[in-house]
Amino acid sequence: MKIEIFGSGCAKCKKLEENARKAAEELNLKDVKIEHVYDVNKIVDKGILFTPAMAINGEIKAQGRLVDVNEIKEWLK
Amino acid sequence: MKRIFFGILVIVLLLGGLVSYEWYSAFKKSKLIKMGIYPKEPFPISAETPVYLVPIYTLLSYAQKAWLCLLIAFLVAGAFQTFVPKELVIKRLKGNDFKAYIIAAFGGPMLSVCSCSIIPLFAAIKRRGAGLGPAITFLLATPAINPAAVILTISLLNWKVAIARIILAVSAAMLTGLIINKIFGKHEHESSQNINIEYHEQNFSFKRDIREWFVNVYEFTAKILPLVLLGIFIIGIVKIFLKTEIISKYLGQGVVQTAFASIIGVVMYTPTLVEIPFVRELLILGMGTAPALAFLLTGPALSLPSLLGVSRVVKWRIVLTYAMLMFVFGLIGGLLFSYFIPQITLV
Repeated sequence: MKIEIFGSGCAKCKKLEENARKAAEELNLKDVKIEHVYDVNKIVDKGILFTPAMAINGEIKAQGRLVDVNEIKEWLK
Repeated sequence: MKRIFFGILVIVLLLGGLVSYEWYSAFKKSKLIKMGIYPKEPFPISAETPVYLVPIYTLLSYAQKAWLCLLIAFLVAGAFQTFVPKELVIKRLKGNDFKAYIIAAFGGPMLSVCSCSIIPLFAAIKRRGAGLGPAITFLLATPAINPAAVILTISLLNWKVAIARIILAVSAAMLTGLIINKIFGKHEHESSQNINIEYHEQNFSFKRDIREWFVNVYEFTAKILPLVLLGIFIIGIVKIFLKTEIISKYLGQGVVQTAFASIIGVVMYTPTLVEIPFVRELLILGMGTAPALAFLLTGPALSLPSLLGVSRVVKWRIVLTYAMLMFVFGLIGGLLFSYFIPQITLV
């Protein structure tokens, strides 16, 4: 499973990455790869408007808001 | 629609409360002054104040003066962020006609997006087929006149500065967009990619919406308040070394001084809202109204880091051109303002 975090390095984006890591840990998922995309052009290529954004296996799950750990866990299940 | 109306109601109530409170306390103060009682400054800074206390007193006096206004500003900014659907604004931001410029200049500031999200958003708007001009206007207007900054400007400077700031910032952003489009518009024809914007109207749910609003306000405050406090503290330190003669020489009323202030604004990174106490302190120390407004115009909209960030999306030539244009508009705007309002009395 691949989680992508999109954000140009602001505090909210870092927090989102942290939440994603925490969610994966709490669910005991081993084969989760978390990738943080900083490049503006790559972010836009994905069709994202609002950062921070998050995609799981390529599908955009949320954008423009900080998702909390529980919500990410729901998606990972 | 109910959601937006609720948001508007909340914003109007908050602003009405703030205005009537400020008006009432100004009224009370003027009555006391008439009776010969001058309200005492709780944290006076004079020549006898020990140097190490100056930054602390500066910070405390701002906290005492602006806490209510800051609170309202954060509540309003959070309400904008929660209740104004971003997708609706961005969706309308297409094409290259005059309407697009208007939406960019006024719609952008309504979104209350943070400075780090603005560059990806700018890239996305441009790629979606909005003209280069409106995209640049959006990029420049959004940080310059956000609702929190307007409220704080009214409270710490005055309403004339706030209105001048809105009018001049919007005009500068629109003119810069138009000129950039005239020069580079043809060459920057990117194949417009379809970025889907879906807008689902959310139903109004009192509990959930209020919660979301408070979460947004909390995040806003947690991010911006420490920077504002730190900024004011640093201003307090700098104040010790700056003498009135130096300020009036380099930042007093005058064309060269205004140009200097405008350049500082273009290059220096100023955290949101910090520009207001910064300008206030400098005005007290003898800054002219022209340099003050020039700095307010260019300071929040431009900085070296943001110029570097934008250069990843458009060519360097474009970035340099809009920075130069904004410098010129900062200079003109400042001089224009000082022509009408040569002096500001701060309370």
